Amino acid sequence: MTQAILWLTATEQAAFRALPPAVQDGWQVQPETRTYEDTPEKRNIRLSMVRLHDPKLLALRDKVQEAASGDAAAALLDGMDLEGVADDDLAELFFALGPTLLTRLIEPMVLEAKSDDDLEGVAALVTIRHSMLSAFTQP
Amino acid sequence: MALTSRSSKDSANKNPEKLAPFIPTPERVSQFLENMKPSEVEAQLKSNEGRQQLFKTLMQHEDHLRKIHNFNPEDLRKQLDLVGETLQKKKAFMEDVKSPEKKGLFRRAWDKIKGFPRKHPVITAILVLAAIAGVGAGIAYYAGSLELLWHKAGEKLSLLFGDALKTMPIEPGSIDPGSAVTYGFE
Repeated sequence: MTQAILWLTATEQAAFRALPPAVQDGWQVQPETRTYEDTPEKRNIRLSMVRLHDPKLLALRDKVQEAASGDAAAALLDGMDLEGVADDDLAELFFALGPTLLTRLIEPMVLEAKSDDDLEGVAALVTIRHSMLSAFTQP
Repeated sequence: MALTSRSSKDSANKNPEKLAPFIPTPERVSQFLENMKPSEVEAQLKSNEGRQQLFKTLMQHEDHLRKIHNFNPEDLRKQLDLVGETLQKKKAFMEDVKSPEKKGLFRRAWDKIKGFPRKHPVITAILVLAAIAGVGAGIAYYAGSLELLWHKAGEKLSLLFGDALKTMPIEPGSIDPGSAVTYGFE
């Protein structure tokens, strides 16, 4: 059976090795060695370049604009579901997020993983991060 | 200039420090320079020579830029380089994640994380980005509710984003999403 690959930073590798053997079983760890120095300015530019087409996300944006208060706007987020949102729009949002912030989200996920299901979510996110780092660090 | 009357009205008498910086994305430059399409701006952003030419063209409108933006020519040079680089990175990323072996990657990622508690930082981060992504009419008017939303979204987002979202440039005017540069997603 082909082992699924997890591209993990050194910190994440240590967290993975601390998981129960039964959880680790079946996963192949590859070191994520690429790094990227992100800055608020670079994130701002990426955010300025996000282009959304999915009607659900455009509707969310419009409703946030119309919200009369922060509570109302936050409530919109609480009630929002991205089910069915197009892959390309999700890709746009992940790109804006960037690899550094994505890493901050991934690390605790590895620490808290208790099952293959949990690690499958990690696998998808680290694959996205690996693609991002490849693009961000190309000459 | 390709500025909406709303943006002109609101920006005319503002303290320069209160004005948003000018971020030279293809759409924004095209909007500002009526005779250039976003695709033409993007083509120029790809090379040093093109960016230098864009800089010269934009600097011909320096007075107007200073009226409606918190504008600094040295920042513009740097921003043009950053936008050009970011466009290349984005194109590389989007093409890579479209490859056959990564088909459905984001769907799988989202299917896994959607089961998290609603207030999980991953979900909140994605939704906040979606809510404030810089497309569409009058994003300047998001500023009030965005500040409130930012504070409401809480400390977790602060830990994640620092001041990145607070300093996001808020640009007046409208951009037709349909005219934006895309990377082949249909």
